[in-house]
Amino acid sequence: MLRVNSLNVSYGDAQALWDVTFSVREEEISCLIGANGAGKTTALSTILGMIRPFSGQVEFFGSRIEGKRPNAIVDLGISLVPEGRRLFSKLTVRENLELGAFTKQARPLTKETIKWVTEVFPILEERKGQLAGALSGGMQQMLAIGRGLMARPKLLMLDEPSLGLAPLIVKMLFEIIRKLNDRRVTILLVEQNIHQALKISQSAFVMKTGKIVLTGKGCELMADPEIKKAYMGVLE
Amino acid sequence: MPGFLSFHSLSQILINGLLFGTMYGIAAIGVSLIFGTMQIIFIAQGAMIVLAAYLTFWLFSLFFLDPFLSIFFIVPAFLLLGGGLYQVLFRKVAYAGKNPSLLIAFGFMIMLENLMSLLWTPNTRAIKTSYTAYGIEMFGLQVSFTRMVAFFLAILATIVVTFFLKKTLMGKAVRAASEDLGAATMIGIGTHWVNSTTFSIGIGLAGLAGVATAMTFPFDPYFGFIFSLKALIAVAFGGIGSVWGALVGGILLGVIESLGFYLLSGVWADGISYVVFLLVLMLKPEGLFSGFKRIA
Repeated sequence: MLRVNSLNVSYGDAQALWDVTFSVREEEISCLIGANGAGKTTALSTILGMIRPFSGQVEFFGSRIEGKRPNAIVDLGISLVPEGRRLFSKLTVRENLELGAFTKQARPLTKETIKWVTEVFPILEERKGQLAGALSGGMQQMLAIGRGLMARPKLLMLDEPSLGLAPLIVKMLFEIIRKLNDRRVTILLVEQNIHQALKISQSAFVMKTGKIVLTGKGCELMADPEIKKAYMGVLE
Repeated sequence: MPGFLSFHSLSQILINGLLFGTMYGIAAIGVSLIFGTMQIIFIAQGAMIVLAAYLTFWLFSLFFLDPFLSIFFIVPAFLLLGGGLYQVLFRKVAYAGKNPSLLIAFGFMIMLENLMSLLWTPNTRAIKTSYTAYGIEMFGLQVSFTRMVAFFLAILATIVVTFFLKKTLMGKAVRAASEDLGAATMIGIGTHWVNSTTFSIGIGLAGLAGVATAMTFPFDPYFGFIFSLKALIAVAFGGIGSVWGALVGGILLGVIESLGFYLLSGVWADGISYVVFLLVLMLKPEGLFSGFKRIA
Protein backbone atom coordinates (compact mmCIF):
# COMPACT_ATOMS: atom_id res chain seq x y z
CA MET A 1 0.00 0.00 0.00
CA LEU A 2 2.89 2.37 0.72
CA ARG A 3 6.00 2.44 -1.44
CA VAL A 4 8.93 4.63 -0.64
CA ASN A 5 11.26 4.81 -3.61
CA SER A 6 14.85 6.19 -3.54
CA LEU A 7 13.97 8.95 -1.15
CA ASN A 8 16.65 11.60 -0.61
CA VAL A 9 16.07 14.17 2.09
CA SER A 10 18.34 16.82 3.49
CA TYR A 11 18.21 19.45 6.21
CA GLY A 12 20.11 22.31 4.64
CA ASP A 13 23.51 20.93 3.71
CA ALA A 14 23.23 17.76 5.74
CA GLN A 15 21.65 14.88 3.93
CA ALA A 16 19.56 12.76 6.27
CA LEU A 17 18.14 10.09 3.96
CA TRP A 18 20.04 8.42 1.12
CA ASP A 19 18.10 6.47 -1.49
CA VAL A 20 15.71 5.07 1.06
CA THR A 21 13.49 2.41 -0.47
CA PHE A 22 10.99 0.22 1.31
CA SER A 23 7.37 -0.74 1.11
CA VAL A 24 4.61 -1.52 3.54
CA ARG A 25 2.07 -4.20 2.70
CA GLU A 26 -1.58 -3.89 3.63
CA GLU A 27 -2.67 -5.34 6.97
CA GLU A 28 0.87 -6.09 8.04
CA ILE A 29 3.01 -4.72 10.81
CA SER A 30 6.24 -3.40 9.36
CA CYS A 31 9.01 -2.00 11.46
CA LEU A 32 11.78 0.42 10.84
CA ILE A 33 14.63 -0.04 13.24
CA GLY A 34 18.05 1.41 13.75
CA ALA A 35 20.16 3.48 16.13
CA ASN A 36 19.53 7.08 17.12
CA GLY A 37 19.98 9.47 14.24
CA ALA A 38 19.65 6.76 11.62
CA GLY A 39 16.87 8.72 9.92
CA LYS A 40 13.80 6.80 11.03
CA THR A 41 11.86 9.81 12.25
CA THR A 42 12.91 11.74 9.15
CA ALA A 43 11.52 8.94 7.00
CA LEU A 44 8.15 9.10 8.79
CA SER A 45 8.04 12.90 8.65
CA THR A 46 8.71 12.80 4.93
CA ILE A 47 5.94 10.27 4.34
CA LEU A 48 3.56 12.53 6.27
CA GLY A 49 4.57 15.56 4.22
CA MET A 50 6.22 17.48 7.05
CA ILE A 51 9.48 17.50 5.09
CA ARG A 52 9.88 17.65 1.30
CA PRO A 53 12.32 15.22 -0.25
CA PHE A 54 14.62 16.62 -2.92
CA SER A 55 14.29 13.45 -4.92
CA GLY A 56 12.44 10.15 -4.78
CA GLN A 57 8.80 9.17 -4.58
CA VAL A 58 6.29 8.17 -1.96
CA GLU A 59 3.37 6.21 -3.34
CA PHE A 60 0.23 5.46 -1.35
CA PHE A 61 -2.22 3.06 -3.01
CA GLY A 62 -0.56 3.79 -6.31
CA SER A 63 -0.71 7.58 -6.25
CA ARG A 64 2.18 9.89 -5.56
CA ILE A 65 1.91 11.82 -2.31
CA GLU A 66 5.33 13.40 -1.85
CA GLY A 67 5.11 17.18 -1.85
CA LYS A 68 1.51 17.19 -0.61
CA ARG A 69 0.67 18.99 2.61
CA PRO A 70 0.30 17.00 5.83
CA ASN A 71 -3.43 17.73 6.09
CA ALA A 72 -3.97 16.27 2.61
CA ILE A 73 -1.89 13.21 3.44
CA VAL A 74 -3.66 12.60 6.76
CA ASP A 75 -6.92 12.92 4.85
CA LEU A 76 -5.76 10.21 2.43
CA GLY A 77 -5.39 7.84 5.35
CA ILE A 78 -1.91 8.07 6.83
CA SER A 79 -1.65 9.00 10.44
CA LEU A 80 1.41 9.50 12.64
CA VAL A 81 1.69 9.01 16.37
CA PRO A 82 4.74 11.19 16.89
CA GLU A 83 7.75 10.56 19.04
CA GLY A 84 7.27 11.93 22.53
CA ARG A 85 3.48 11.72 22.00
CA ARG A 86 3.08 15.49 21.42
CA LEU A 87 -0.35 15.61 23.01
CA PHE A 88 -2.10 18.91 23.61
CA SER A 89 -1.56 18.89 27.33
CA LYS A 90 -3.85 21.83 28.11
CA LEU A 91 -6.74 20.19 26.28
CA THR A 92 -8.85 17.42 27.70
CA VAL A 93 -8.58 13.78 26.67
CA ARG A 94 -11.81 14.11 24.72
CA GLU A 95 -10.68 17.28 22.96
CA ASN A 96 -7.44 15.60 21.92
CA LEU A 97 -9.44 12.78 20.39
CA GLU A 98 -11.84 15.15 18.63
CA LEU A 99 -8.94 16.99 17.04
CA GLY A 100 -7.55 13.71 15.79
CA ALA A 101 -10.55 13.63 13.47
CA PHE A 102 -10.00 17.15 12.18
CA THR A 103 -9.51 16.21 8.54
CA LYS A 104 -12.36 16.27 6.04
CA GLN A 105 -13.05 12.56 5.69
CA ALA A 106 -12.77 11.77 9.39
CA ARG A 107 -14.68 14.73 10.81
CA PRO A 108 -18.24 13.59 10.09
CA LEU A 109 -17.40 10.21 11.66
CA THR A 110 -16.02 11.67 14.91
CA LYS A 111 -18.69 10.21 17.20
CA GLU A 112 -18.44 6.70 15.80
CA THR A 113 -14.68 6.72 15.81
CA ILE A 114 -14.56 7.89 19.42
CA LYS A 115 -16.79 4.95 20.28
CA TRP A 116 -14.45 2.58 18.49
CA VAL A 117 -11.31 4.08 20.03
CA THR A 118 -12.70 4.04 23.55
CA GLU A 119 -13.60 0.42 23.03
CA VAL A 120 -9.93 -0.28 22.39
CA PHE A 121 -8.85 2.06 25.20
CA PRO A 122 -11.65 2.14 27.80
CA ILE A 123 -9.47 4.28 30.06
CA LEU A 124 -9.85 7.18 27.61
CA GLU A 125 -13.60 7.17 28.21
CA GLU A 126 -13.14 7.16 31.98
CA ARG A 127 -10.71 10.06 31.85
CA LYS A 128 -12.37 12.03 29.08
CA GLY A 129 -12.68 15.26 31.04
CA GLN A 130 -9.11 15.25 32.35
CA LEU A 131 -6.37 17.35 30.87
CA ALA A 132 -4.06 15.28 28.70
CA GLY A 133 -1.07 16.67 30.57
CA ALA A 134 -2.34 15.13 33.82
CA LEU A 135 -2.26 11.55 32.52
CA SER A 136 0.50 9.06 33.29
CA GLY A 137 3.02 8.20 30.58
CA GLY A 138 1.32 4.99 29.58
CA MET A 139 -2.11 6.60 29.35
CA GLN A 140 -0.65 9.47 27.36
CA GLN A 141 0.71 6.98 24.86
CA MET A 142 -2.70 5.36 24.61
CA LEU A 143 -4.26 8.76 24.04
CA ALA A 144 -1.64 9.53 21.40
CA ILE A 145 -2.46 6.29 19.60
CA GLY A 146 -6.15 6.97 20.05
CA ARG A 147 -5.74 10.43 18.56
CA GLY A 148 -3.89 8.88 15.63
CA LEU A 149 -6.71 6.39 15.09
CA MET A 150 -9.30 9.16 15.09
CA ALA A 151 -8.20 10.12 11.59
CA ARG A 152 -9.43 6.71 10.40
CA PRO A 153 -6.02 5.82 9.02
CA LYS A 154 -5.40 3.03 6.59
CA LEU A 155 -1.78 3.24 7.68
CA LEU A 156 -0.86 4.07 11.25
CA MET A 157 2.74 5.10 11.80
CA LEU A 158 4.03 4.84 15.35
CA ASP A 159 7.25 6.64 16.23
CA GLU A 160 8.96 5.14 19.27
CA PRO A 161 5.77 4.37 21.17
CA SER A 162 7.59 2.55 23.95
CA LEU A 163 9.99 5.38 24.72
CA GLY A 164 10.09 6.23 28.41
CA LEU A 165 7.51 3.68 29.50
CA ALA A 166 7.86 1.07 32.23
CA PRO A 167 8.56 -2.50 30.99
CA LEU A 168 5.14 -3.74 32.01
CA ILE A 169 3.43 -0.94 30.11
CA VAL A 170 5.66 -1.59 27.11
CA LYS A 171 4.48 -5.18 27.04
CA MET A 172 0.89 -4.04 27.15
CA LEU A 173 1.58 -1.53 24.41
CA PHE A 174 2.91 -4.14 22.01
CA GLU A 175 -0.14 -6.24 22.84
CA ILE A 176 -2.32 -3.29 21.83
CA ILE A 177 -0.40 -2.77 18.60
CA ARG A 178 -0.95 -6.39 17.73
CA LYS A 179 -4.63 -6.10 18.59
CA LEU A 180 -5.00 -3.05 16.36
CA ASN A 181 -3.38 -5.00 13.59
CA ASP A 182 -5.90 -7.79 14.15
CA ARG A 183 -8.54 -5.13 13.51
CA ARG A 184 -6.99 -4.63 10.09
CA VAL A 185 -5.01 -1.46 10.79
CA THR A 186 -1.78 -1.51 8.82
CA ILE A 187 1.09 -0.44 11.00
CA LEU A 188 4.51 1.05 10.37
CA LEU A 189 6.44 0.94 13.60
CA VAL A 190 9.65 2.77 14.44
CA GLU A 191 11.25 1.33 17.52
CA GLN A 192 14.38 1.28 19.64
CA ASN A 193 12.97 -1.72 21.43
CA ILE A 194 14.13 -3.95 18.62
CA HIS A 195 13.49 -7.36 20.11
CA GLN A 196 9.83 -6.65 20.83
CA ALA A 197 9.34 -4.83 17.54
CA LEU A 198 10.74 -7.64 15.42
CA LYS A 199 8.67 -10.17 17.32
CA ILE A 200 5.38 -8.63 16.22
CA SER A 201 6.41 -7.47 12.74
CA GLN A 202 6.01 -9.31 9.48
CA SER A 203 8.49 -7.11 7.62
CA ALA A 204 11.42 -5.17 8.93
CA PHE A 205 13.87 -2.62 7.60
CA VAL A 206 17.09 -1.70 9.28
CA MET A 207 18.41 1.82 8.87
CA LYS A 208 21.91 3.06 9.46
CA THR A 209 23.13 6.64 8.89
CA GLY A 210 20.29 7.47 6.56
CA LYS A 211 20.33 4.32 4.47
CA ILE A 212 18.36 1.10 4.53
CA VAL A 213 20.99 -1.54 5.17
CA LEU A 214 18.86 -4.62 5.65
CA THR A 215 15.36 -5.71 4.65
CA GLY A 216 13.66 -8.91 5.60
CA LYS A 217 10.96 -10.68 7.52
CA GLY A 218 10.72 -9.88 11.21
CA CYS A 219 11.62 -13.35 12.34
CA GLU A 220 14.50 -13.59 9.90
CA LEU A 221 16.09 -10.42 11.13
CA MET A 222 15.64 -11.54 14.69
CA ALA A 223 17.87 -14.51 13.98
CA ASP A 224 20.41 -12.45 12.05
CA PRO A 225 23.71 -12.51 13.95
CA GLU A 226 24.62 -9.01 12.77
CA ILE A 227 21.41 -7.59 14.19
CA LYS A 228 21.87 -9.46 17.43
CA LYS A 229 25.34 -8.08 17.83
CA ALA A 230 24.66 -4.53 16.71
CA TYR A 231 21.29 -3.79 18.28
CA MET A 232 20.36 -6.33 20.88
CA GLY A 233 23.50 -6.26 22.91
CA VAL A 234 24.18 -9.94 22.43
CA LEU A 235 27.88 -10.68 22.61
CA GLU A 236 28.99 -13.71 20.71
CA MET B 1 -14.06 69.89 45.89
CA PRO B 2 -13.59 66.52 47.53
CA GLY B 3 -10.44 65.78 49.51
CA PHE B 4 -7.20 64.76 47.86
CA LEU B 5 -8.18 61.12 47.75
CA SER B 6 -11.58 60.73 49.23
CA PHE B 7 -13.45 57.47 48.88
CA HIS B 8 -15.67 59.09 46.32
CA SER B 9 -12.92 60.32 44.03
CA LEU B 10 -11.03 57.06 44.40
CA SER B 11 -14.08 55.11 43.26
CA GLN B 12 -14.54 57.50 40.38
CA ILE B 13 -10.92 56.95 39.31
CA LEU B 14 -11.26 53.20 39.59
CA ILE B 15 -14.42 53.18 37.51
CA ASN B 16 -12.85 55.34 34.81
CA GLY B 17 -9.75 53.18 34.77
CA LEU B 18 -11.82 50.03 34.57
CA LEU B 19 -13.87 51.30 31.67
CA PHE B 20 -10.83 52.61 29.84
CA GLY B 21 -8.85 49.48 30.54
CA THR B 22 -11.37 47.23 28.81
CA MET B 23 -10.28 48.87 25.52
CA TYR B 24 -6.73 47.77 26.25
CA GLY B 25 -8.09 44.37 27.20
CA ILE B 26 -9.88 43.88 23.89
CA ALA B 27 -6.79 44.93 21.97
CA ALA B 28 -4.74 42.60 24.15
CA ILE B 29 -6.93 39.57 23.45
CA GLY B 30 -6.28 40.01 19.74
CA VAL B 31 -2.55 40.42 20.27
CA SER B 32 -2.47 37.41 22.56
CA LEU B 33 -4.36 35.14 20.14
CA ILE B 34 -2.16 36.08 17.20
CA PHE B 35 0.94 35.63 19.32
CA GLY B 36 -0.30 32.22 20.40
CA THR B 37 -0.27 30.77 16.91
CA MET B 38 2.15 32.93 14.91
CA GLN B 39 4.58 33.76 17.70
CA ILE B 40 4.76 37.39 16.66
CA ILE B 41 3.60 40.55 18.36
CA PHE B 42 1.18 41.99 15.84
CA ILE B 43 2.35 45.54 16.30
CA ALA B 44 -0.20 46.91 13.83
CA GLN B 45 -3.13 45.94 16.08
CA GLY B 46 -3.40 49.49 17.40
CA ALA B 47 -3.34 50.94 13.90
CA MET B 48 -6.16 48.56 12.94
CA ILE B 49 -8.13 49.84 15.93
CA VAL B 50 -7.63 53.40 14.80
CA LEU B 51 -8.62 52.42 11.28
CA ALA B 52 -11.88 51.04 12.66
CA ALA B 53 -12.32 54.25 14.63
CA TYR B 54 -11.92 56.31 11.47
CA LEU B 55 -14.36 54.15 9.59
CA THR B 56 -16.85 54.62 12.40
CA PHE B 57 -16.23 58.34 12.28
CA TRP B 58 -16.69 58.28 8.53
CA LEU B 59 -19.90 56.28 8.62
CA PHE B 60 -21.18 58.67 11.26
CA SER B 61 -20.29 61.93 9.56
CA LEU B 62 -21.08 60.91 5.98
CA PHE B 63 -24.01 58.57 6.42
CA PHE B 64 -25.16 59.64 9.88
CA LEU B 65 -24.86 56.06 10.98
CA ASP B 66 -24.99 55.65 14.71
CA PRO B 67 -21.68 54.31 16.10
CA PHE B 68 -23.51 51.48 17.84
CA LEU B 69 -25.04 50.38 14.56
CA SER B 70 -21.71 50.60 12.77
CA ILE B 71 -20.56 47.66 14.93
CA PHE B 72 -22.70 45.44 12.74
CA PHE B 73 -20.79 46.56 9.67
CA ILE B 74 -17.31 47.05 11.00
CA VAL B 75 -16.87 43.91 13.06
CA PRO B 76 -17.87 41.49 10.26
CA ALA B 77 -15.81 43.52 7.77
CA PHE B 78 -12.80 43.33 10.05
CA LEU B 79 -13.24 39.60 10.59
CA LEU B 80 -12.98 39.18 6.82
CA LEU B 81 -10.20 41.72 6.56
CA GLY B 82 -8.18 39.80 9.16
CA GLY B 83 -8.29 36.57 7.19
CA GLY B 84 -7.50 38.48 4.01
CA LEU B 85 -4.57 40.27 5.61
CA TYR B 86 -3.07 36.96 6.61
CA GLN B 87 -3.49 35.50 3.16
CA VAL B 88 -2.00 38.53 1.43
CA LEU B 89 0.73 39.59 3.82
CA PHE B 90 1.79 36.63 5.91
CA ARG B 91 0.94 33.38 4.18
CA LYS B 92 4.08 33.38 2.06
CA VAL B 93 6.41 33.89 5.01
CA ALA B 94 4.60 31.66 7.49
CA TYR B 95 7.38 29.08 7.40
CA ALA B 96 10.25 31.55 7.20
CA GLY B 97 10.50 32.20 10.94
CA LYS B 98 9.18 35.14 12.93
CA ASN B 99 11.37 37.97 11.68
CA PRO B 100 9.80 38.42 8.24
CA SER B 101 6.30 38.42 9.78
CA LEU B 102 7.34 40.91 12.43
CA LEU B 103 8.87 43.22 9.83
CA ILE B 104 5.81 42.96 7.62
CA ALA B 105 3.58 43.83 10.57
CA PHE B 106 5.76 46.82 11.38
CA GLY B 107 5.81 48.03 7.80
CA PHE B 108 2.08 47.53 7.55
CA MET B 109 1.57 49.66 10.64
CA ILE B 110 3.65 52.54 9.22
CA MET B 111 1.83 52.29 5.93
CA LEU B 112 -1.55 52.28 7.61
CA GLU B 113 -0.72 55.27 9.80
CA ASN B 114 0.39 57.32 6.84
CA LEU B 115 -2.52 56.23 4.72
CA MET B 116 -4.89 57.32 7.45
CA SER B 117 -3.23 60.68 7.87
CA LEU B 118 -3.47 61.15 4.11
CA LEU B 119 -7.14 60.18 3.99
CA TRP B 120 -8.38 61.83 7.14
CA THR B 121 -5.63 64.37 7.93
CA PRO B 122 -3.49 64.05 11.05
CA ASN B 123 -5.94 66.14 13.05
CA THR B 124 -7.50 64.65 16.10
CA ARG B 125 -11.07 63.50 15.57
CA ALA B 126 -13.90 62.64 17.88
CA ILE B 127 -17.50 61.64 17.42
CA LYS B 128 -20.16 63.70 19.07
CA THR B 129 -23.52 62.01 19.25
CA SER B 130 -26.56 63.14 21.17
CA TYR B 131 -25.60 60.76 23.96
CA THR B 132 -21.82 61.28 24.07
CA ALA B 133 -22.03 63.57 27.04
CA TYR B 134 -24.74 61.50 28.67
CA GLY B 135 -23.76 60.09 32.00
CA ILE B 136 -25.37 57.64 34.35
CA GLU B 137 -25.51 58.32 38.02
CA MET B 138 -24.64 55.11 39.92
CA PHE B 139 -24.13 55.03 43.68
CA GLY B 140 -23.33 58.71 43.49
CA LEU B 141 -20.71 58.14 40.80
CA GLN B 142 -20.76 59.61 37.33
CA VAL B 143 -20.37 56.94 34.67
CA SER B 144 -20.20 57.86 31.01
CA PHE B 145 -22.91 56.07 29.08
CA THR B 146 -20.76 55.27 26.04
CA ARG B 147 -17.91 53.93 28.16
CA MET B 148 -20.34 51.79 30.06
CA VAL B 149 -21.67 50.32 26.84
CA ALA B 150 -18.12 49.80 25.56
CA PHE B 151 -17.34 47.93 28.76
CA PHE B 152 -20.26 45.55 28.32
CA LEU B 153 -19.41 45.04 24.66
CA ALA B 154 -15.90 44.09 25.67
CA ILE B 155 -17.17 41.56 28.20
CA LEU B 156 -19.56 40.16 25.61
CA ALA B 157 -16.78 39.85 23.02
CA THR B 158 -14.59 38.07 25.53
CA ILE B 159 -17.38 35.62 26.28
CA VAL B 160 -17.90 34.98 22.58
CA VAL B 161 -14.18 34.39 21.98
CA THR B 162 -13.96 32.09 24.99
CA PHE B 163 -16.95 30.15 23.77
CA PHE B 164 -15.38 29.81 20.33
CA LEU B 165 -12.10 28.55 21.77
CA LYS B 166 -13.68 26.19 24.27
CA LYS B 167 -16.66 24.75 22.50
CA THR B 168 -16.07 24.66 18.77
CA LEU B 169 -13.79 22.27 16.94
CA MET B 170 -12.19 25.23 15.15
CA GLY B 171 -11.49 26.90 18.46
CA LYS B 172 -10.02 23.71 19.90
CA ALA B 173 -7.78 23.49 16.85
CA VAL B 174 -6.59 27.04 17.50
CA ARG B 175 -5.79 26.17 21.11
CA ALA B 176 -4.01 23.00 20.02
CA ALA B 177 -1.95 24.88 17.43
CA SER B 178 -0.94 27.54 19.91
CA GLU B 179 0.30 24.83 22.25
CA ASP B 180 2.19 22.75 19.67
CA LEU B 181 1.99 23.87 16.08
CA GLY B 182 4.07 20.93 14.85
CA ALA B 183 1.81 18.35 16.46
CA ALA B 184 -1.26 20.16 15.16
CA THR B 185 0.16 20.00 11.65
CA MET B 186 0.90 16.31 12.04
CA ILE B 187 -2.70 15.47 12.83
CA GLY B 188 -3.89 17.38 9.79
CA ILE B 189 -4.69 20.85 11.09
CA GLY B 190 -3.50 23.26 8.37
CA THR B 191 -1.16 25.97 9.63
CA HIS B 192 -2.50 28.60 7.24
CA TRP B 193 -6.00 27.81 8.25
CA VAL B 194 -5.27 28.28 11.96
CA ASN B 195 -3.26 31.44 11.38
CA SER B 196 -5.90 33.05 9.25
CA THR B 197 -8.60 32.15 11.79
CA THR B 198 -6.71 33.76 14.65
CA PHE B 199 -5.98 36.79 12.49
CA SER B 200 -9.62 37.02 11.66
CA ILE B 201 -10.63 37.02 15.31
CA GLY B 202 -7.82 39.33 16.36
CA ILE B 203 -8.67 41.91 13.71
CA GLY B 204 -12.39 41.47 14.37
CA LEU B 205 -11.71 42.44 17.98
CA ALA B 206 -9.68 45.39 16.74
CA GLY B 207 -12.77 46.43 14.81
CA LEU B 208 -14.88 46.32 17.96
CA ALA B 209 -12.27 48.17 19.99
CA GLY B 210 -12.07 50.77 17.22
CA VAL B 211 -15.79 51.47 17.28
CA ALA B 212 -15.69 51.72 21.04
CA THR B 213 -12.70 54.04 20.88
CA ALA B 214 -14.39 56.27 18.35
CA MET B 215 -17.39 56.64 20.65
CA THR B 216 -15.44 57.44 23.75
CA PHE B 217 -12.12 59.10 22.95
CA PRO B 218 -10.58 61.53 20.53
CA PHE B 219 -8.08 59.83 18.23
CA ASP B 220 -5.54 60.59 15.52
CA PRO B 221 -3.77 58.34 12.98
CA TYR B 222 -0.74 57.77 15.23
CA PHE B 223 -2.71 56.91 18.33
CA GLY B 224 -2.51 53.22 17.43
CA PHE B 225 1.11 52.54 18.22
CA ILE B 226 0.69 53.49 21.86
CA PHE B 227 -2.42 51.32 21.86
CA SER B 228 -0.37 48.35 20.62
CA LEU B 229 2.20 48.93 23.33
CA LYS B 230 -0.50 49.08 25.97
CA ALA B 231 -2.03 45.91 24.62
CA LEU B 232 1.36 44.25 24.88
CA ILE B 233 1.65 45.34 28.51
CA ALA B 234 -1.83 44.00 29.21
CA VAL B 235 -0.84 40.66 27.65
CA ALA B 236 2.24 40.54 29.86
CA PHE B 237 0.06 41.21 32.92
CA GLY B 238 -2.40 38.50 32.04
CA GLY B 239 0.04 35.90 30.85
CA ILE B 240 0.33 34.95 27.20
CA GLY B 241 -2.35 32.66 25.86
CA SER B 242 -5.02 33.55 28.38
CA VAL B 243 -8.06 35.36 27.00
CA TRP B 244 -9.54 36.46 30.33
CA GLY B 245 -6.04 37.18 31.58
CA ALA B 246 -5.57 39.63 28.72
CA LEU B 247 -8.88 41.34 29.49
CA VAL B 248 -8.16 41.58 33.21
CA GLY B 249 -4.60 42.67 32.43
CA GLY B 250 -5.99 45.47 30.28
CA ILE B 251 -8.40 46.56 32.99
CA LEU B 252 -5.61 46.51 35.55
CA LEU B 253 -3.47 48.66 33.28
CA GLY B 254 -6.33 51.11 32.83
CA VAL B 255 -6.79 51.39 36.60
CA ILE B 256 -3.07 51.85 37.22
CA GLU B 257 -2.91 54.56 34.59
CA SER B 258 -5.86 56.49 35.85
CA LEU B 259 -4.52 56.29 39.41
CA GLY B 260 -1.17 57.55 38.14
CA PHE B 261 -2.90 60.28 36.21
CA TYR B 262 -4.73 61.47 39.27
CA LEU B 263 -2.06 61.03 41.92
CA LEU B 264 0.94 62.36 39.98
CA SER B 265 0.13 63.94 36.67
CA GLY B 266 -0.93 63.09 33.15
CA VAL B 267 2.67 63.17 32.02
CA TRP B 268 3.49 60.33 34.36
CA ALA B 269 0.59 58.04 33.52
CA ASP B 270 2.43 56.33 30.67
CA GLY B 271 5.68 56.19 32.62
CA ILE B 272 3.96 54.42 35.49
CA SER B 273 2.44 51.79 33.25
CA TYR B 274 5.87 51.03 31.74
CA VAL B 275 7.44 50.79 35.19
CA VAL B 276 4.74 48.36 36.29
CA PHE B 277 5.28 46.45 33.04
CA LEU B 278 8.99 46.09 33.77
CA LEU B 279 8.29 45.07 37.35
CA VAL B 280 5.88 42.36 36.19
CA LEU B 281 8.39 41.09 33.65
CA MET B 282 11.11 40.99 36.28
CA LEU B 283 9.12 39.52 39.14
CA LYS B 284 6.41 37.43 37.53
CA PRO B 285 7.16 36.98 33.84
CA GLU B 286 4.58 34.22 33.46
CA GLY B 287 1.78 36.73 34.14
CA LEU B 288 0.08 37.88 37.31
CA PHE B 289 -2.69 35.29 37.24
CA SER B 290 -0.58 32.34 36.23
CA GLY B 291 -1.51 30.39 39.36
CA PHE B 292 -4.83 29.57 37.79
CA LYS B 293 -3.94 30.28 34.21
CA ARG B 294 -5.56 28.24 31.53
CA ILE B 295 -5.65 28.66 27.83
CA ALA B 296 -8.87 30.46 26.95
